[in-house]
Amino acid sequence: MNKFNCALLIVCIVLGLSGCGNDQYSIEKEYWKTQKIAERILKDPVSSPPKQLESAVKALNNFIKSHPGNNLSLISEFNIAQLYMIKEEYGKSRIQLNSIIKKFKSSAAICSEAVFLIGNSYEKEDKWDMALNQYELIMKEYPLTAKGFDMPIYITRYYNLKHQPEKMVEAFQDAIVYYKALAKKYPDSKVSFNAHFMVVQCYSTLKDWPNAVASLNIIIEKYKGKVPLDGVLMSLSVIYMDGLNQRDKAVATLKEMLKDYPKSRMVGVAKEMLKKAGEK
Amino acid sequence: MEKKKSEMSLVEKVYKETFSMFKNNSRVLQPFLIFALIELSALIFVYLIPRAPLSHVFGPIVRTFWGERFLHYPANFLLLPKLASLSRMFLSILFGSLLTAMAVSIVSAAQHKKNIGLRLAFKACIKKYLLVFALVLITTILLYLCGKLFTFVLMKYFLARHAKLLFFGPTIWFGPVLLCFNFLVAILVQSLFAYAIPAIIIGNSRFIKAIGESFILFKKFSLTTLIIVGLPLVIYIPIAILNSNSLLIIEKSYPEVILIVAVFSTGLTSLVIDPLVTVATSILYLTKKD
Repeated sequence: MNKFNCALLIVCIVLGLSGCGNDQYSIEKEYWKTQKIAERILKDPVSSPPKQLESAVKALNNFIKSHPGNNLSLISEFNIAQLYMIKEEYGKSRIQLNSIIKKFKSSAAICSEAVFLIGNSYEKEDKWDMALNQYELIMKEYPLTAKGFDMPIYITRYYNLKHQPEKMVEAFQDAIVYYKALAKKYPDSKVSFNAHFMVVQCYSTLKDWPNAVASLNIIIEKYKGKVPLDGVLMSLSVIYMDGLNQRDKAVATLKEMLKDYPKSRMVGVAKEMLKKAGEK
Repeated sequence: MEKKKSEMSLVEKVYKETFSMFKNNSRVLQPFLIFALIELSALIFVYLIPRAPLSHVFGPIVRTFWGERFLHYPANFLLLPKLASLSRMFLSILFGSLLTAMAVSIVSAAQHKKNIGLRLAFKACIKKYLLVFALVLITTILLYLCGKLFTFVLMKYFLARHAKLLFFGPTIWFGPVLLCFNFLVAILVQSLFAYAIPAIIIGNSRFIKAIGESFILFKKFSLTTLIIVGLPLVIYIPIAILNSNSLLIIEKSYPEVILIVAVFSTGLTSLVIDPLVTVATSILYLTKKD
């Protein structure tokens, strides 16, 4: 066999092998087909017949069985719950979500997402107290997940949407306590820094400017030299300028920011603010 | 009016001879068949890139230039027409140039009542490979740059927050208008250079002289050339429309339809459009030279 024939044979074998195996690509292809069945229900949940839901769930379950451990199987598990939810079969949706929690109990991120959807299902049924129980469960059990971190703010937004200002203020107070506790429990971590910042945001929303400034100063004191604080200094100057009407302090903070972080993305905004304040 | 009439009768004459050439001398189609097979292999290769083992080698290239999502089903089909067009461009320069020259050589021999095969055509053309290679390279670059320049100008205009240009919004300009522009540019550029390969292969002209000869012939028979080059390209319009609506095809049918369209496009361009343009322009060149 000459060199050319040998090379041709290798090319043919490589091309022949491509796509024959049960690789990630063929799994994605199979997932796309099951998604297409589910899509029909998602497009028109009201008029889609119950049989369609059955076949979509069956297809998704078959996919999960065929590819355990694959990322798309996990997404399919959630898809089933969402299909039930969109068809207003909340009980079945919660059973599915609870099975996800049981199956993936070692992953806080997955569990927090499932508990959040359980809360959502109660919310859709107008059972806020039950939903709140689930959301508080996330805050307690999975505080370090993205969902856990956002939960207090989610609760405040609910009261805001439902036009319950007193409960909203109360939820903000609870959020401040929660974030402060979180920052204390995990000191010197990224979570702690973000929790401190959330405290500032809560105070700012409540227009409690002195406490917002105090919280920002705690961040500056704790993290100076460890992380870039240009955003913190910017927030502080904005509060001095607009919230507390303390122009001099605002200008001093802006100048400090420009001096310490001359390459910050906020330099332009800071200079603009100084210009507005009548400074060069 | 008289000139127009004579040019139309010339078109008729050239097409009659072209079809009789296909009928009586099917060897002329062999180079195009070879190119179609090469292009089809490249298309299969490009289609298989997201799958192992090819994904290990070519996956990083797709990831770097277009993004991770194009290595997954069904988004890989969105990139397929672009990759197919790029591979065609590359193959046209590398192999298409030589194979077109070989087809021109077979046409010339057939017109002189000689019957030559692929081997003889190859021998006659390989010496001039560099010239035809450079010619196809220039034509391809010119076509590519014209399309890119127009897109760039449109992008600049609409990114400057202009809502409309000559009554139309960006959807129309980047959709049907860009498609028409690319189509017209393709006809014009190909018409300008249509007689350069026959001039090199049949007329034994040097590079610059061949281009000059092509321009002169185009000026002399502009309407005939535009029809000879443009008419076969019209067949490609439905494919171009399908290619620019890949997302819709995926949503409404199956992603694999894009692959079928690409295969069909390969067959159409390599086995219908290219032979028609090449043989007809060669016959016209020979007629006018004789």
